[in-house]
Amino acid sequence: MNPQAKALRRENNNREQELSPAARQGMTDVVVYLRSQDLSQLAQEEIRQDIQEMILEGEKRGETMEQVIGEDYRAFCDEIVAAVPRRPRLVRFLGIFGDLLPALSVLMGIWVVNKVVHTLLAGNSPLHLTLTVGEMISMVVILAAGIGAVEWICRTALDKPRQEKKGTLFLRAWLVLACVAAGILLPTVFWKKILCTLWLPVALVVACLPVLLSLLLSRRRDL
Amino acid sequence: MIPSQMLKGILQGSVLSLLGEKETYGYEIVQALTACGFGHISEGTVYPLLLRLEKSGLVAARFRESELGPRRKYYTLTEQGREALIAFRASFQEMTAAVMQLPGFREEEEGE
Repeated sequence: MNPQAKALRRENNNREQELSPAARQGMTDVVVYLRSQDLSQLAQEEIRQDIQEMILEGEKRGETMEQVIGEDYRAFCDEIVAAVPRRPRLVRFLGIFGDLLPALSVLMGIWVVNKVVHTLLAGNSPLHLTLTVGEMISMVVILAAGIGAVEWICRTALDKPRQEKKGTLFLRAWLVLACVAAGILLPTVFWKKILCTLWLPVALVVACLPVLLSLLLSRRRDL
Repeated sequence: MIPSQMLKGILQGSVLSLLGEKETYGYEIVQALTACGFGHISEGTVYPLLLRLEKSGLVAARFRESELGPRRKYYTLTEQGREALIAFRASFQEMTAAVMQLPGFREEEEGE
């Protein structure tokens, strides 16, 4: 994360404590929704700061968050997003990629440790680690599931509770179940199929590479 | 009560006009608009507009401490904003003059 955005986030988190509990809850929903939009992390924090200060001042006057920004938080947020120029496609892609890198690094770190321990327990030298197709698929599935879950939570943060049709709920439940089953079965089928063999130092470098890339990307203010 | 569609078209120019007078903040803009007869406008309506003006370089913004406690974001017109305000005034006067030529409006004028 960009150091400027990180500092502002810390400041915003502290200021948030001064809001009333109702406004704090409302702000959380607004911030979560803004996270799913085409905004850089710095822009998200700058907008959050503006809204928070607006609400804090409103509360001093005795007004609620609804009275300050209106009752339709989603429409308010959509207008804000529309007011900010859209980022080029490459920058948006780099933003998503940058968010994934730390998770990717953790997954690869777990894989390296797991492989070394298993190889040692099997009485073999851990200098050469084999990456199987199944392991690769399982990493992709975990990352995709993580992105999907976060995206769904953010995008629906400001949705009003609605009565879904039974058929829609049934189909959705089956779709989720099918995805989970595929996510478990697919790696299992290819669990032993070797994709490549990595020399331990190379595996460690590969595991650390996403962190380095993430640090490089965090220099950019537009991500 | 000004219909929302009509308001949307003139709100930006009206905010530029208020900012042309002095450096001010969101809530003061809302109060000034209400006092001018624009009806109830929330800060939630004005903030995205100010953000758009800021992003397009028509206004500049900075935080200042307020007497009430919370910091306020003050907005001021940039040179580009002044040019946009002049353009808005000219277009609005042109539009008002055109509307005043329409039958219903002309009769009202003649009646007076």
